[in-house]
Amino acid sequence: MVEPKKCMKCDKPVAYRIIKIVKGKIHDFLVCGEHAQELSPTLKHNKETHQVSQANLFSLIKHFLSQQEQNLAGGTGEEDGGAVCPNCHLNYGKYRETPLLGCSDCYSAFEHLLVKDLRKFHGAVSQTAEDVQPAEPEKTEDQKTRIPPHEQAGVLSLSALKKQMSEAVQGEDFEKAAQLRDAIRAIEGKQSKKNKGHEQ
Amino acid sequence: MDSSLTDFVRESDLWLQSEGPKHHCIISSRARYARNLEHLPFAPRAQDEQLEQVVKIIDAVISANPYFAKLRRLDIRDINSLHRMYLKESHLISSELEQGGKHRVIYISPDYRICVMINEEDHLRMQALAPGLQLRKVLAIMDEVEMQLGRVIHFASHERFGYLTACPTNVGTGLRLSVMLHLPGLVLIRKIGEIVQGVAQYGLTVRGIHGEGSEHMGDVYQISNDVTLGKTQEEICSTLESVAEQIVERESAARNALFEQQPTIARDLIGRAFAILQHASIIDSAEAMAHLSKIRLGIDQGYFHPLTHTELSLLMMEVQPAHLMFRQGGQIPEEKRDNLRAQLLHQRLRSISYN
Repeated sequence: MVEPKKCMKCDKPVAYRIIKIVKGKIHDFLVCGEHAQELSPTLKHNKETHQVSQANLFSLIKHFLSQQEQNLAGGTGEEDGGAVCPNCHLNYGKYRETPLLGCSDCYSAFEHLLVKDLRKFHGAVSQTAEDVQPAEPEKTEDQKTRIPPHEQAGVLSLSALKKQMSEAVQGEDFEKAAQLRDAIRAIEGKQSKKNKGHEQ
Repeated sequence: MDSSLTDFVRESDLWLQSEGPKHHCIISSRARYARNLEHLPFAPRAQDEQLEQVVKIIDAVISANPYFAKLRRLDIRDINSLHRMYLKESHLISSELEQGGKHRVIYISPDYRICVMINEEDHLRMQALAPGLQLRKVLAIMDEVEMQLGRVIHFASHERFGYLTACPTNVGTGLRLSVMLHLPGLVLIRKIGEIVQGVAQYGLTVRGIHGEGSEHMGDVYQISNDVTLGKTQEEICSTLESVAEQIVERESAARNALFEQQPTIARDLIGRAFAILQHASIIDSAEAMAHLSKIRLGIDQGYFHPLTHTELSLLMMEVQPAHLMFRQGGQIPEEKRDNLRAQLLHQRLRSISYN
């Protein structure tokens, strides 16, 4: 990393660039805060905050550069465990650069890692009313076929529910199909009531 | 040049030609769904053969369904850059598709209200447009189109994340709802900053007339939902509709205040704008939009009869670069365009008087 430049008049780091035009000639000064104050008395230089912010700036740059080095080396410094999508072979680190995912399977491959980004963009991490906890207890056979209540209430579009119902029928999971049918009817019942209220 | 394609492009403003609800403040409404096929790489990371496969699959689905019989299919490669720019100005295609590219196809309805785009950032982007405030209408149209496609295509989805998209900012519903508002009153009384900051708390965002990165030309603001995950389509629609209606109320109040409390200033602003549009020989699009915005404001008060809000919305489109060049039949340098723009405005406003 390049060392910060030194003031033209002393050894302190450069904080300001002052350009003065004297008798038609341009003078370019790279100076510290105090010497800047001398050159330009109207300049309001706050000794403390400026020096602290300079230190912060350089440490930020250092941190940023070290992050970049880690990224290039293939790791992000986070616990991605070198996550790679089994379908399209996208590396999680590559996604972080763009941020575009490779295919639908990436969402399963990087599920726990994507949660942070989703929370940032949407303030939510799932297409349901409450947060789904990452580590769910093993479901029993009975629980696996039951549709959780929060998924029944028309959260996904109606067409998705209808599709799930036909798949359940094809798979001879008639109990699940019946539950989906009830959920669809409930939503369609609500919608027709709403439509009567709106004239658009 | 394919004349039928030229005619087709020329007519692409058709969707804006009728008057919509609350048209004095709301220019148009739009609903857009993003969907993808399972397992095939998303468009930005797909190989040519895979993009071709996506096109083939969706072509087959659309051609087999009588619901889509009237849609016109166009390959983006067959549309030259001027025509693409025109379609973008008409809000029919996105800036992504305006760039061109291989294995990108659009399907457009005869009234230009529906456009289905293949291999934009997602395999499928479908949108519906309508004049005025018609969010429920455009959403209903999109739900129908999505359902018709979804009968056969199993859209990529995840039990937790909902519908999956190339960019995580679109997951969940994959729904972007937006309204285009004309807010000269709030701009003039300097309250627009409050609105822009205020909408953020509803998960909404404000952009200019041509989307991300465009300035607020002509006092036109596009408000859309930022959040697509964790809310239902109905919630997104209700929120945006309610916020849009509140903004319309505030804009109307601002306009009334302006004309009641400062009538001379208001007339002066509008009069000067009209005078410049009538007499300038050179005018760029930003300046033309700024003055047209004042004319559109004046229409509320009955000035410029028989000009309507709808005609002004269309005129605001006609002064855009591609629309101007299209009238002349080809690419034209900027200086010449600025002169043509001025001539067009003289022509349109010649028989209008300021009363």
